[in-house]
Amino acid sequence: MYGWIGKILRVDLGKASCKEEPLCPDTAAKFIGARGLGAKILFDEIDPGTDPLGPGNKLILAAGPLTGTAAISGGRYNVIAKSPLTGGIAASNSGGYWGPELKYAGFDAIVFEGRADKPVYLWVNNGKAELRPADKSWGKTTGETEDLIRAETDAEAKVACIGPGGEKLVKFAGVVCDKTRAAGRSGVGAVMGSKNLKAVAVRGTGGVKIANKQAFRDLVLDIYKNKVKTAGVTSSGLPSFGTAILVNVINAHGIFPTRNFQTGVFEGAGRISGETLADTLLVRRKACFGCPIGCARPSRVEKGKYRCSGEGPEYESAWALGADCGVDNLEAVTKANSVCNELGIDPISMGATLACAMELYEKGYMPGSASELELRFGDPDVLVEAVRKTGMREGIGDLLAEGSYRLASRFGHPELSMSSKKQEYPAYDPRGCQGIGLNYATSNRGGCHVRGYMISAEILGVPEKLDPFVIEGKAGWTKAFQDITAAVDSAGVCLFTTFAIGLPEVAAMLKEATGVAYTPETALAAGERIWNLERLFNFKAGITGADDTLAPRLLEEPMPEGPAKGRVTRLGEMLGDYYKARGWSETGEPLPETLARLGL
Amino acid sequence: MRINLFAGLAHAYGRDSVAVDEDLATVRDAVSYLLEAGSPGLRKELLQLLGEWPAAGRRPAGSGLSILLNGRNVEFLDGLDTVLGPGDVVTLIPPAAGG
Repeated sequence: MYGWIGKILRVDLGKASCKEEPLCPDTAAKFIGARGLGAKILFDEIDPGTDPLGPGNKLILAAGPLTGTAAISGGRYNVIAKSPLTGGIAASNSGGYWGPELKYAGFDAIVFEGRADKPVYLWVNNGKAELRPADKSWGKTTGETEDLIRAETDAEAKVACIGPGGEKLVKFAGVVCDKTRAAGRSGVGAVMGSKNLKAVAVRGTGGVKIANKQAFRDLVLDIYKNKVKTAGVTSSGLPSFGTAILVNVINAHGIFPTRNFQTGVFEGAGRISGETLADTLLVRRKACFGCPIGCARPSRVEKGKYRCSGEGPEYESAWALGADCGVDNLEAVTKANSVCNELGIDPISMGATLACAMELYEKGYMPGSASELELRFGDPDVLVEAVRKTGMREGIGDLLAEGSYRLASRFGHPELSMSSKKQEYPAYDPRGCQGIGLNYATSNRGGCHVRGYMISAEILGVPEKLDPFVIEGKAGWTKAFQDITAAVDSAGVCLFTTFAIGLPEVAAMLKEATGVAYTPETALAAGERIWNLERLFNFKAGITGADDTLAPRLLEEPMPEGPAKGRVTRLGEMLGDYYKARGWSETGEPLPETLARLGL
Repeated sequence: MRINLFAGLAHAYGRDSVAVDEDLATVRDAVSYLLEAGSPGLRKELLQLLGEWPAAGRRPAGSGLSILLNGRNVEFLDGLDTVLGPGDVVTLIPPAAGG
């Protein structure tokens, strides 16, 4: 095969066995790879009702056909499993260098089944796979784990691992590679921990065969010169300031969720912004595999109680650990973000869950006896300590580790969980940006911006400017963003490329790399197919159209101030149109004719 | 009124905010004011994003600059012809994205 390696590695952790199997070409073409391939395997092979933290769940690490090629930003892989946070499908996307190395080691994907009796890690070296004891690395941070496993295997090995958060089954634990890149959302790290799997180390010297070498090379060069290097976002904005450039931008629009979405304007935004990061803690810029954009921000706090070294904060973590918790101390936010990386937990759900706890605490819904910390908004020391306790499941951290929905429900106020399908929202208040609200409500993995990044059109003007306050047309736009994203995620390129290129370029790269006659239309259909397959999995797992909703605050409480003052999310007026655009029933179930059209 | 500058524009000017004492009638006037009053570095950055200046239509010729009036993109108001009032805040944003 071209683009794809053509092999899947299946690892039975209970039997400590590894075996190769061929990748079906038809499945590959229809579901592309990475997220789509993982969804297909999960749908076909597990009982959707299974306990996500039991041995019946499967954990799939999968690359796309463009992963490890010369495609622009072609370094992505996905981690797919049934989510312990949402109970639905999880597909968490990561950059770094692990995905390409998996393919160079000889596989498109690894499927983990069952549960190991004792902690283990998998070592894959040029097509050979073996499970090894992880007794030395169990309990270690992600950075320590990577160093230990490299020392035991190969100095050039790429390591994807969990930290203590994953071991302790924090429901929003992630899988971290290259020490700072993460498949962060939906608790895929907890699934890995439940299997007693500490890490997956890969090393390979193989390559990826390209179907039409010269055409692929010419195409990528053309995209680089005429798209990526000329679009303002990818040539200037992201390289210069990283994702945290958005802190001031989103705050200026009045949709920067503050203190658990109680308002959309944060008075301390400038102090945690990308501009301030660039002026103070930034060490240099950094890029993932094959990426000319380079949005990563290695940073360092030189001294004091927040001393740390790592990467970030990104926009999302600056918001979640900053504004959402009312904290405007950039050093503390950077430290908290660093602790999230070391313990292997998702900073978005972490910050949002802590913000929920702070509102519960301040309103008297959570008794003081429930927490050894004074959970008040704005305290940087509490922020850092709460993050550490959560990753280690100590004290109040044991409650926070369950995520905001379970926490708020425990204290009788589930409405204060800012989540959909039990996954916390990211850093945009949909009351002032209607399309992103529709995306949050319908996202297959719960509250998430990168399933269908309507912010791109509604705020950033890419590919065109849409009025964020208007609901007309947003159903079709949201569907298009979601389907395109599913295709891009599955191809193995970074979503950030879509600030410069569109599906025609992605489809063209897929075509020249794989030799399969992808067109923009067939690539879009593949994205829609993947979206619907994820939806079917969720329905079988008990997550239905009734779950396509938002936190009551976003539907009923008008934004109290700022540019979006007085507005709520008009979800009910968009949802019917969205279902129609998708070819779903009035209750949100994919209709038989839709499934037939998509070959499902 | 006040003009706020983000990202590369703030770095080019060395400040992220400008208080304006003059009476400016429209957003177009605010951009012109900044081009005249700002530093050479800011002027260069702004002109690159604007495409050409003065702009003939209600929007800049270039697509690289977002202009907000009190947090609302002026594209959804009257563009460069949007009328300014006392206490208004105009924000100029170069290409930005994240996630």
